Amino acid sequence: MFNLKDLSDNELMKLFREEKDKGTQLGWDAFNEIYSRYYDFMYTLCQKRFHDSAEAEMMFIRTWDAVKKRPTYNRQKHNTMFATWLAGIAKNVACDVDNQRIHGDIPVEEAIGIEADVHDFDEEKIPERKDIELMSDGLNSLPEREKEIMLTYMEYDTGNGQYLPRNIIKTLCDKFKTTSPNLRKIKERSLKFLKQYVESHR
Amino acid sequence: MKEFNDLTAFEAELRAALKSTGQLFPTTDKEVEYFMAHAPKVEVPEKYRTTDFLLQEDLIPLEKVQSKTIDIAHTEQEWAMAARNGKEIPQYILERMHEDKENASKK
Repeated sequence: MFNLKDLSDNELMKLFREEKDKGTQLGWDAFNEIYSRYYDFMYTLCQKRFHDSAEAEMMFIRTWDAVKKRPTYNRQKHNTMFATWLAGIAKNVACDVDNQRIHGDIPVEEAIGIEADVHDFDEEKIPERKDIELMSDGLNSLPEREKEIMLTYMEYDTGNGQYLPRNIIKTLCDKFKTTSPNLRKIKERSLKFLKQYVESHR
Repeated sequence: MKEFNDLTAFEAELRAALKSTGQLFPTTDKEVEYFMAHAPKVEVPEKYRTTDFLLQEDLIPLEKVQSKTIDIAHTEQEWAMAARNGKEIPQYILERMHEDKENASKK
């Protein structure tokens, strides 16, 4: 008999996928093993991404629920680590929750089914550590309104031809009592401020 | 250090930086690895250390999610400290960040 701890993430997910519909203990054990490897990563990420701890917990629960219902991770197909795929699921769940709030409560099975595997896997390089620190400090020095608008734009507008959805623009406009052209101006102004911040603090 | 030729180039770098620090969701292995190596760990409540909650509970309806605001200033300072290998942020940097924030509010 093999030990589940010796299996790779990909092997565990494959085992869970194969055993899931049979309802075997082995399948559930495989899921428990993969969960034990990544729950703290996902919990930390959700708490970092959402400043509201209840919102973060809800995203954490929904993300794992999505993984349990659609364990489609395949190392060869996705060409990425399990943790990266998991973060992509969390991002899609968060976008779906935004949509549910705007359009009414779509059943979660349907919502997570929309794009559970779709996220960009560009192998873009990350900046030098010093720049990452400066950008993070600069962002945190922005007023909350500017910060939220910047982050929302950047989460949705990935730079690969995807844009901020109209319903999200409307939600931001309503929240900050402003117009769509102003939102973009605020984002551009914040971006210029951050660039200047990084360049002047180097 | 890398120069930012224009705003578009800077935006791409900024996006990668924010994904690496978890302020946006990371989407590449490098960003996830950076996050795992540098993010200050958050204590996971006992109820989420096993998968029992996935068996026992239905999903919480969105309207019942109670807001509990996290102390942002505190968590951000922890993050900034972690990025500096646990060293305290010098007072002059804290003051400069505070000034920058005030100046940005005035604009």
